[in-house]
Amino acid sequence: MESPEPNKTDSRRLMRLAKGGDRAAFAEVYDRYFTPVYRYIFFRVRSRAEAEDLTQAVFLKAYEAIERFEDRGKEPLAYFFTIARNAIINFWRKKKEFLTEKPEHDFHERGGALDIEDDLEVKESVTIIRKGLSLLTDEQAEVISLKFISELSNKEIAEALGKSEEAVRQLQSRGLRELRKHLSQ
Amino acid sequence: MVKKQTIEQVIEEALRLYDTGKTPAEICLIYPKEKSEIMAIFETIEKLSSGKGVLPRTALLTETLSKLSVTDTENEGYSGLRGDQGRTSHADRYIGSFTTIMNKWKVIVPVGVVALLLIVFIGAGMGNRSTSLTLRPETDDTSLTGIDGSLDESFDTEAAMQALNSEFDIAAKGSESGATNGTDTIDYTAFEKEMNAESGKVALDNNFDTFFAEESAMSGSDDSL
Repeated sequence: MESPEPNKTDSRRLMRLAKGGDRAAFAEVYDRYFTPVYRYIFFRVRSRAEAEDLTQAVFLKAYEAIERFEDRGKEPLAYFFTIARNAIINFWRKKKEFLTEKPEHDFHERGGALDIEDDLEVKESVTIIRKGLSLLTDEQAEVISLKFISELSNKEIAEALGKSEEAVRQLQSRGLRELRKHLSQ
Repeated sequence: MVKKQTIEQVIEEALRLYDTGKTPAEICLIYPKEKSEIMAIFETIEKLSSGKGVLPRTALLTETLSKLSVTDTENEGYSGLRGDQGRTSHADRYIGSFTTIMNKWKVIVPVGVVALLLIVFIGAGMGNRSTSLTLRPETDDTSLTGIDGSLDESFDTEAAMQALNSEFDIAAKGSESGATNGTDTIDYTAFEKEMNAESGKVALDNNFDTFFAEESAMSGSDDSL
């Protein structure tokens, strides 16, 4: 079922207020987007510590650059995910010595170890998901994690990645079929 | 002719229907031949959804603040945060920490630039002033000491003649060295020249009187003309 889109107009209004120095507005934006961004990063790095560091860096950078934010009618979440995406790319570029294939495009460690999780069931699921995402292409993994883990709509994903909704749907379809093969083994 | 949809196209359509609110069961009724593939896809989606259990630690914000080394900021009454009220103050301090850092740099950089400019301008001003100080005494001294000098020199016959000649030249030309009438470098109009000539004439007369007085004193002859 399509995840309910946050009030887009409200989000854009909050971003405009935050740009003008309204701390409460930025706090609301922070609250609204922090968890989705964290989840997105979490499944694209190897550990919780790395995910936390990158998430902090994303929101720090977003806050520092808030004055340069321009409301172009897009969902503000795309702004944060663009920063997050670039942060992940830079992160893996620095760690490319640990990658075995496609150091510039393979952002996922193959079945990497996790930090200690409180919920073992979640930990097991996370392990499976991470392993599965590592077998997809970068675009497929991004769309799958944004759609079904971070709960973004196709429109939001399209704006964040600079693609059409049709292209997003195609990537979802191919990615899910690849994942199905892996998870059924 | 209706082109048979590929399995990939069917999956894409199934996902689109799912986004509109259709349940997997309803979608399978639409595509009964691809039911097994469609159900497998939705099972995969269900497994991916378990990733929603991944949540950031509540202490993450506190750790962020400690890394930034900021002080507590006042809560400005923001209470619109959903769920965790504790995060409200954390978020506010988080934002305050960024504001504090940004404000510091907004003050330090402009103040530093202004200070640097002041140093440059003061230094340049002091240099100009020293130059002007070396020039001005000549002008002022000429207007004052020249008169005294000419009066003192009038007692010396040869010097008196020189002083008379120089004063006459100044009165006529309005040169800078003119001391009798106190004028310096101003261009004279005809009226001014006449006036200066008059003042020069008075000075000349005075000097003549003095000169001849001296001559008379020296020679003992009648000094009137």
